[in-house]
Amino acid sequence: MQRKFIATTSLFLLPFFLSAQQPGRHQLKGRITDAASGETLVGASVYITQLNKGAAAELDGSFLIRDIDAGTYRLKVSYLGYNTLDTTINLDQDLKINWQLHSNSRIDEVIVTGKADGESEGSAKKSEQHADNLVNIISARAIQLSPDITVGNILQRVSGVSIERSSSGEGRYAIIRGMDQRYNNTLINGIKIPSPDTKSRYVPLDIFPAEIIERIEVNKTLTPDMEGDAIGGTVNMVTKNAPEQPYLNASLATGYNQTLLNRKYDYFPVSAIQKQSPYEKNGPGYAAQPSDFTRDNLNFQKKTMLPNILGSLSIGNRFFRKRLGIMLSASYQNTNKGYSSNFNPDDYQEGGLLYIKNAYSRTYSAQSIRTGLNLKSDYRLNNNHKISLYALYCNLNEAQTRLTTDTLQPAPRTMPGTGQIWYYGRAKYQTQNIFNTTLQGDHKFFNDHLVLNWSAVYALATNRIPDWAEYEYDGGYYTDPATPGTPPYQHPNVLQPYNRSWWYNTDQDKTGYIRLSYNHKLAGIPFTLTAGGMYRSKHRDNHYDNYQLRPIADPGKSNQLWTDIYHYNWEVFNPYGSNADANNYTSDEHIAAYYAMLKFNIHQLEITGGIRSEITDQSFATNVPVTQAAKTGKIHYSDLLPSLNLKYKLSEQINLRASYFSSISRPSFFEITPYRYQGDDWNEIGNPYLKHSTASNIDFRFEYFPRANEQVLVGVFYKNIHDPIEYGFSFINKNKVYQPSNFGDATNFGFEAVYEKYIRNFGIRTNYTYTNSAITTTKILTKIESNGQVSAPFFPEEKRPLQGQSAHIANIALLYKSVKHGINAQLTWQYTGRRIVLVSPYYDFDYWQKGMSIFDLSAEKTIVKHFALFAKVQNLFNAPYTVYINQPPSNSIPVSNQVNVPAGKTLAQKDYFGQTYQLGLRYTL
Amino acid sequence: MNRKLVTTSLAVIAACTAFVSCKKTNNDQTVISEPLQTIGQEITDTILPKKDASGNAIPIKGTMLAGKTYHIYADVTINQGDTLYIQPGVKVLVHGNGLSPASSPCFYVNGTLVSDGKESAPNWITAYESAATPLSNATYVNDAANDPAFKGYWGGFQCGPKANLLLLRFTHIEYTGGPWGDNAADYGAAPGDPRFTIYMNNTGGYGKLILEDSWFYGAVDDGIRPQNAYISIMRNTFQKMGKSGGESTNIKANTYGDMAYNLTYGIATNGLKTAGDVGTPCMVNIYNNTLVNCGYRQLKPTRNGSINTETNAGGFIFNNIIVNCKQGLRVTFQSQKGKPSDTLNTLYGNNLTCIGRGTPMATNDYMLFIEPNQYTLKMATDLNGYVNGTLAANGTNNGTNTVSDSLKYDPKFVNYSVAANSTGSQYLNYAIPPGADFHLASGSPAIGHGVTAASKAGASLLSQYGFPMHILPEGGTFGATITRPNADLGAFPGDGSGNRHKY
Repeated sequence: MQRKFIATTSLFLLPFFLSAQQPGRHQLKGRITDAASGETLVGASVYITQLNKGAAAELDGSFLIRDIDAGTYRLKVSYLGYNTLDTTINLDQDLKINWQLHSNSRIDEVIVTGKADGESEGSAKKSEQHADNLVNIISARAIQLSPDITVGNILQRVSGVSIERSSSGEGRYAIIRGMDQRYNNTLINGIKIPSPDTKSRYVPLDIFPAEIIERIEVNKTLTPDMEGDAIGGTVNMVTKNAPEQPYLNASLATGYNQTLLNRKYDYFPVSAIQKQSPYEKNGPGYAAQPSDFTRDNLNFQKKTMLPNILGSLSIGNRFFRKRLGIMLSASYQNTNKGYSSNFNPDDYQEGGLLYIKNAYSRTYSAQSIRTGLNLKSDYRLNNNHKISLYALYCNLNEAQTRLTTDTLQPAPRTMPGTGQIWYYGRAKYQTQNIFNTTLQGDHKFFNDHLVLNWSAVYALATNRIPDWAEYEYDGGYYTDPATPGTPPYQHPNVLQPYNRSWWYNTDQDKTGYIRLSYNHKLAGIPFTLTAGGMYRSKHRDNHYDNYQLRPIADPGKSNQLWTDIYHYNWEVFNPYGSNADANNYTSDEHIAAYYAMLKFNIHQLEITGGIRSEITDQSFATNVPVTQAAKTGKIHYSDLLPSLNLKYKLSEQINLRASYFSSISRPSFFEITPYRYQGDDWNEIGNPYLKHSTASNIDFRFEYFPRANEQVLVGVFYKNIHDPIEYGFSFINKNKVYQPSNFGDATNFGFEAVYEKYIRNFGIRTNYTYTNSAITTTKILTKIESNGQVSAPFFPEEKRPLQGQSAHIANIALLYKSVKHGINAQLTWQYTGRRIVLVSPYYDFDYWQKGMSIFDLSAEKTIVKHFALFAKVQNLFNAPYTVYINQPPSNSIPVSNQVNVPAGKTLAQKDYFGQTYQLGLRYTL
Repeated sequence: MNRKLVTTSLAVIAACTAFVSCKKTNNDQTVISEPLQTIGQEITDTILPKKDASGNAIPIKGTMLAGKTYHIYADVTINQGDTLYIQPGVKVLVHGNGLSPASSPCFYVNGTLVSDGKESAPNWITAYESAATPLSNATYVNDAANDPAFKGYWGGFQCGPKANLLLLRFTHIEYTGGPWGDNAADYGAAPGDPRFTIYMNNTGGYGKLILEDSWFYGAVDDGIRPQNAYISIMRNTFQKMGKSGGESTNIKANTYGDMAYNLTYGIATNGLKTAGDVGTPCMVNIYNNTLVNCGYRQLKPTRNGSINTETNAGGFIFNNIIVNCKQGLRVTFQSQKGKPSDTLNTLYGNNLTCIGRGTPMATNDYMLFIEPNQYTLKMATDLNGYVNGTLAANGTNNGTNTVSDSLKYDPKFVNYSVAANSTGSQYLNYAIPPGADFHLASGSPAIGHGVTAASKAGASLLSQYGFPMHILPEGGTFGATITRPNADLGAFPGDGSGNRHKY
């Protein structure tokens, strides 16, 4: 693998060493930029007709044509979407000329993204520079060139953002400046979308294929016109806009995962997953029979899977004298992955000792099929009025096999190689959908002084996990206690009861937005006064049905032994299912918000400030009987959220920014329902009395944009979060329960730096973020008194960083681009420093992820006109995901899977995902 | 000495006269009738619960009358502050099929329930037999898959957060375990889980659980499961508890009391189990019990199979007889779920463990005197074939079970041949053979081998609670009748003071 990487890199570097100026001739060089924005136009061409010779602008916008005889030449400077510059020059010496091109499309001031090529990297930087608030943007071009295929993974390239991964290693949630997904929100084209998650309101970002997104904006400060439930920030995915010219972009790629080259895929047919439970199929009152449950889904077959298929198509144009614009994008990704995980959960022992009881070794095989469809259309009635329609549909179907062996560490394990072993086989098929449709109007009146925007949104997110099943049988290798010293014998594999469950939830939003802004001048000071409002009605349904299947003892025996799933003779313990439970709940949320915002400039100072009010009404209803507390609930609160963003333009290239905003975070719908799980040691219960979190946020940033796609950003931030929601112990009467609660105040401050620089064909993008957050929560601890007596549990407070917060996050991307040779290449390094991934209820038992470096590589080469070949390698060095607990194991027999563990720690988890390779062809009109 | 105890003693004496093994003879017979108690209103309707105008069940209180048979068709609730008193000689038939929560009624006890059966007039709270819900019979001795005893026709006694007292005397409780429904969470369970025969968790103080001289027959999972309670579980018979896992008694955190003179026969996992919580003790004395054929229907290995203490549990464990159980007494260091027992506050000895190996459960998988690598040691006063190994730093010991000691510690029951019941896989039988008598025949090593008192220096909880404990009110309709430890081992000591059941 490494050898291949070096070979590939050398190939790209080769053209650089082949240059030498011939005597008596001259060279022409310079830089090509956008006349309006000043951004460099990478790839713009300079062409000398007579000589049939030319060059293209490199990453820094510069071009160079060598070996030109003195003379007068006619030159054409051109770039897609810009008016071609036709000029004549007299060349009698080496010349340096900078050209500016004018965009040939009409600039639409209402829609910032209505520019000629909103996908370009330069355009993204421009938006960052001109935004009213603090924003980081990743352009489609950067997405296309990056090794990432989902939005989740791309986000980790943004400064201050780290990701929480799913079990397959895909980025799923964004942690913005150390604030986990709870504190952030997710938008599509500026519109909040519902979540298909069963419990929370955050949106899994691995459902969105990268190819249908034009750009991703991470807003780190809020203006009054933005929804206030973002303390860390918002992730806004902007889908591709209708273009000004005919547009066609298509790609087709294939690939493979290294793990699946090393071993076979454990396959089960999705057709054996029953989409409906016996209850749904036959109605209430139906007593499920053993034969109502399939077996093929638990018969895992070793299989060599076909290579991955990834395709995308974007097509767009304008019609009816450019009045109607349409952009259609589709993406299909069918990928197979194999990965593995070792997991050793902690077991707390009196006195604060850690004991390991289970050593799970798991192998996963997963097939993910992602489909994304996006329509963006707009109709310009005239220059003042525009109606737009957006629709987005994303679907992720994942069939996942998980095979587990669990080696039990307590007796009868007497030495490594002995003990109980529990075997599991799990089939899980999950379908997640997000659908969003938005009708939007933009109207201008009175010579553009008054602007009206409105949106009507319908969005639906669904999640289905039908027929979740995991069988289990227990065996192992025992030493005979009657005759110690004899070799271990194999204990027969005894079948265990198991469950078949159906989980569904839907989350539906209906939202209306209106915004009216008036801009004028007062005493020579230009200002914009904006007022607006929003109303959202959200409805969430959640259903759960579970059947327990129990083995029937073999005749004359006390148990049944495992041969295979087809011989498993089971009975249905609860034949009517369990279609009643606080897991079955509906909840509604109505949010009304309105705001007033004023933006004005005094000389170089731009001030955007105002106030937003959000009124929240929540209610829930569960299936529990009226005799149980908290069957229904209603919660009402309102918040006033002031904000102020100051931007001081020190020069055209330099901004100084300062901002204050206040924001909130609402509890998840599930957390406020009275759910209750019976744990082994305590109950986990919901908390209908949970308060929402509020935060005050302060930011300063220095921005320097030497050229459009170069930047230096340095910032600091401070957040004070009141009533953060964390999990901890409480007492209900005298029963200890583990539940979401409000824990006083948390603080979070940090420092961010971004540096991007381009020199000829090379570029470097780096960012670094330091974050320091602190929260104090109650933990549980006991001690052994001097007389040997175990103390009653006490509940010390423990100060720690917020879950998911790394002190250090860094990214470095090295880029190479040769327009001449049609080559793009990118090597990225992403580092996430150590952080808490799981907060333990016990004092000093938190799960800490070790700092992790991931390298990715991608390259693209234009082969003939319109066609480019691209290759991507993810996770170049197969970096493991490693989690430690900062306590040594107290087991007297060596614990399984503890290899190369630093002293004083226990390895809790180690996952390997393998490299993923992709090779594809792209067509661009 | 109150009158109750006097009459009880008289009844013992009366019983002894009929007994060949009785040592004393008393020709004078005095039988003085007790007043028939009525508490609150008499319950004359025999179809229960009654419904209000909108069809909701009306909570029940008052007295169920001697000689009557009551039919229960839906969940019955005793409200906080209310009492349901069942006179001696009452039969309660619960109509249920165990298939769903609605078709497996149960008693929700938020106040007080006293079933005041007598030896001469026991009470029955059992399943109503129908063609669809047949009762078990003598043909089922090792067939848990089909035996109706494990069908869980009804839901048992669910004592909620305000429960005050559940007291059963000479009462037959049979066929419990039907699944939980919507309100499972209030009782620490999930919908679809089997219900325990008796669950008690008073979250505001301590519930009182007194189970005396009663018969528990057939349960899907655990039988008795108290938490935050004071308990006295004495002189009962537990049979066929747990279909594929489950214990006669599974005593949880913050519970104090005694378990004595119980016979547990053919239980899925342990006969008697105690477990506290992190930093929360469970102090229960376990003495003079007889445990036979337990531990073989638990599908998870090494959950032990007779008496088991885990996670901060302690107490005096003496004078027990364990015969043909999967493993003898275990004072647990680690199990898959359990954490270390409170060894400081545990004192044990004078227990007899007998194994007749029979055919192995699986290759090399025989019953054990003591599971090695746990805290349990063979005490000098113990009768079993375990040889202590070296004591590890963590307090466990890796000893040896002596193969040739099979049947060596036969307690010599009056009418239950351990040898005959040890051949082949007979240890899997879960039904007490008709006519079985677990009293001790002359020459039994268990006679006179027990202690009647014990103490341990430095064990503050042991000293505080005592052996036996006196934390419950004693005597009277609402009090416990506590039998002290006996010099004879097991539930059936020679002086007749123990378990009075006949089979």
